[in-house]
Amino acid sequence: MVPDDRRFPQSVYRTGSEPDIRFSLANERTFLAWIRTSLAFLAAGIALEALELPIEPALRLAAALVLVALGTLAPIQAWFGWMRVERAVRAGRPLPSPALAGPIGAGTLVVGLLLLVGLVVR
Amino acid sequence: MTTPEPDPGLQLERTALAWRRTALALMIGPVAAARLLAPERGVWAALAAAGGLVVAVGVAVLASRRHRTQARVMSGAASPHDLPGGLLLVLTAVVLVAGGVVAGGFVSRL
Repeated sequence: MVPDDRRFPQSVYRTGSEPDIRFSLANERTFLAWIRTSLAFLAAGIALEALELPIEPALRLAAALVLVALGTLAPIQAWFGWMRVERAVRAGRPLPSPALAGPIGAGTLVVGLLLLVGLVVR
Repeated sequence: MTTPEPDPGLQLERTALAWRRTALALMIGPVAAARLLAPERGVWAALAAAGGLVVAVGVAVLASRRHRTQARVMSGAASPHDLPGGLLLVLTAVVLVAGGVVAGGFVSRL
């Protein structure tokens, strides 16, 4: 443990010991995957509202709002997940599972159902 | 004596590619959104697209610097304490959250 490590955030780098850099690289790729997931959600939300689609408008708006909300949650999971995993790797502890994966998955299901009903009702 | 592999498992290369995919998505996303929103939101859409492009280029540049430092650490030319840490990551996450707020604004007023 290096108490005067200057890297940000100190809550990560002042715990445990330096891991094999490959664990950090893998953690970084996971962070970036969540970021790209966020971009996909945001793009889908905007596309739903910007394109002329044969979906009942209220349900389409609801689906778009949920997609934007998911796109805003995903980067939160990206950052806090990265921090928790980096700390766990440094401390030699078991890796935590992504806390927001459940809600984000459930939200995606809700979007699918909203669009399905919106398509059928139209 | 065998020379140690410089990038075992190609982790470094995969990480660099992951940053590139992300920077590319950061470039395409705002431009595509602006294209979709242009009929209704003209100037604001163009501004958002321009801002997104600037951010994406910034991320690409900083990520390539990050990659060079990581490569030097893996080859033993630098110590892990020279690594850049999580600053670029948290900034990227903040940009995405801000993007989500902007997207929410567009969606709820369309």
